Amino acid sequence: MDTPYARQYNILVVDDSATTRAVIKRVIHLTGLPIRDIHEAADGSSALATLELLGAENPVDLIFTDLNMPGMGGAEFTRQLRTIDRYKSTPVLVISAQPDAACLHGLEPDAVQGWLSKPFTPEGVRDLIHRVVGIPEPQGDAV
Amino acid sequence: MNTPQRFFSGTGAPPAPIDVDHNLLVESLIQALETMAFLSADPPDDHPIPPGAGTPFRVSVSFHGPFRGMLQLDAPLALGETLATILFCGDPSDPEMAMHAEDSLSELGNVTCGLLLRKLSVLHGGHFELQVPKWAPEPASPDWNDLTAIPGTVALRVEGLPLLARVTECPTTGAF
Repeated sequence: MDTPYARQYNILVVDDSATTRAVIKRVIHLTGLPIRDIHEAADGSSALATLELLGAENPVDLIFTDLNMPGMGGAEFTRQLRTIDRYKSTPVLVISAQPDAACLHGLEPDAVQGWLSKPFTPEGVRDLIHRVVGIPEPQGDAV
Repeated sequence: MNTPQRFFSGTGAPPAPIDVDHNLLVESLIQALETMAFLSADPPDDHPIPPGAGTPFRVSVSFHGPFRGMLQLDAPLALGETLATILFCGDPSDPEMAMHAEDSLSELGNVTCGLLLRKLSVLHGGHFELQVPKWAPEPASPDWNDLTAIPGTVALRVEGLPLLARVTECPTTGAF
């Protein structure tokens, strides 16, 4: 694919709401960032299964997750995620409609690297992804 | 602390409305609609809700903090389908959009409540926390005019469809 970026990134979105997953996928695409694939999971267990399926050949570079989900929630998901060598330091961002970041209290240290507040805007998502993933500026013409 | 005033309270009555500034509620709804789906909302007018608006569908989002309350939205599922069509970049004739209508209205309630609580945090101080949205399988009333007449209700039009909102006390039992 013709892109001014050095590489493309894989993202995993974990949320029990299909609508939320659709919204964040659309907003991520609107950022213009070099995204290869956006994978989806409806809870923590499905997310771990997806990561296992992707294996070492196609790892995820960034994870967005809800905290309150039926089945395995976000806190347990991030705890188990950090036991996988490949994902010990992969950035995780919490997506939430909560009015402030107090929802992150109770998570283990370094479980997540940021908090994305609803409603999402492409600018907010773009800035946050740049901050936590450190995507280098595009080579040549700006996107 | 400016604890919201209650209009009324009674045993067996519907949850009493909480006196939240209507402007804050309307601003939150408009911001949620615009940011989520690029939809604009028309202000309430003097005309009654037209016949054929569809059966009301209710989404409730409870919250707690400096005070407890619940945001209620009443809207026809047709509005949920409109939202879903935009959010999923779908085709209006696609039956799958109808399957996402309830979830899309729930997400509208979720986002609106979060925005409202940010404004209330500034106004009242303290930390609010919202719960997962819930929807009622049966409307509180099939009559839009009854719903519009509930004290504390604000009424908007979105894509020609009614959207009602109010903030009430949390019921002591049950989700609604």
